[in-house]
Amino acid sequence: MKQLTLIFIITCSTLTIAPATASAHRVSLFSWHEQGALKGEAWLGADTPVVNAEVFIIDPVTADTLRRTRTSSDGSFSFPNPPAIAMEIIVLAGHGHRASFSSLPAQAPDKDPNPGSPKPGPAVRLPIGIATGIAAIAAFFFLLHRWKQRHAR
Amino acid sequence: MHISEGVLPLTTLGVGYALSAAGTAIGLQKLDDRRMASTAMLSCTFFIASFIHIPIGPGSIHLVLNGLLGLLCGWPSFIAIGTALFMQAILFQYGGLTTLGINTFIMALPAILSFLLLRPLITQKVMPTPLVGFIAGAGSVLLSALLLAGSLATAGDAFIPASRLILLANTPLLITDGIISAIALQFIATVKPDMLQP
Repeated sequence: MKQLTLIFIITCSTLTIAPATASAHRVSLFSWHEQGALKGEAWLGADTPVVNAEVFIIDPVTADTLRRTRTSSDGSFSFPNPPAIAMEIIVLAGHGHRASFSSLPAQAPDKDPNPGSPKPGPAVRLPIGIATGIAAIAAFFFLLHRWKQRHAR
Repeated sequence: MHISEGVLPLTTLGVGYALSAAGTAIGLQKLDDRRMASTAMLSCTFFIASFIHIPIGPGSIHLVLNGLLGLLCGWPSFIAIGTALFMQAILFQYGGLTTLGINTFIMALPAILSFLLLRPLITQKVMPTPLVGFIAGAGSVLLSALLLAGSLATAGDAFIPASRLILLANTPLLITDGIISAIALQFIATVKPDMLQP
């Protein structure tokens, strides 16, 4: 039974993986930060906008895909509230047409809406989050233990 | 090694949830009172391991330790990993709730394979314990990276470069995770060998 379950899981996982290939051609991609959004345009050649093409934001360090959208009829796209990290923007115009652009994070506004009020920085928030997570995991397993005990009777 | 929300097609997300649910159900059956505390501790270890970053070149990698977790937990690895990933998703926005199923499966399947294939080598003393730990740690990260790359490939051609980059970026992690798993497993075999008994 254990072996059958394992074979079932491996088979299903293999079926979810569909290999594919991609090639590259020249597409022009421009991107900038504007009013809290990451905006851009994609052009095929000098005067043909890339219409309805997939656009992705990828974290170049972890290779995680952070956002995705499509270009509009004039080849433009917009990501509201983009991640505040250096990122790579990729546009896939179909038929192997592809372009990428490295973008720096938008500069944070200097103005503090509540000056004087202490705010926890990342160095403080991280330990609080970790402690909360550990406590929640312990509580979950405690409840699981109680649930299994009740079911055992 | 988390897949963010809004990337994968619904089919992949659904299959991920279905497979993780099946693994979790088996894990719930196998999880007994004797192993409850150690499974909870290993879940916490997996949760924390993601925050230990090791600088490599211009970027950094973080430990995964799913191979070590699998060797020690067995089938309840699905519960331990799923719980830790859920907490990471809601507290730190690592991954996401829609991708929780596929992320759990990507991490837990190599853990289960470590348990089924490598755990007997420890109990039968066929191979030195640290070597088993290294193979479990490195092999699990490699398999997780392959599953992750394969899952991303289902999202379309645009993710093929990202998939290749993930495999490349995880190469140093294979060795690091293998070494840490080997040391931890040898330590456990020395001070608490009953954790490695069936």
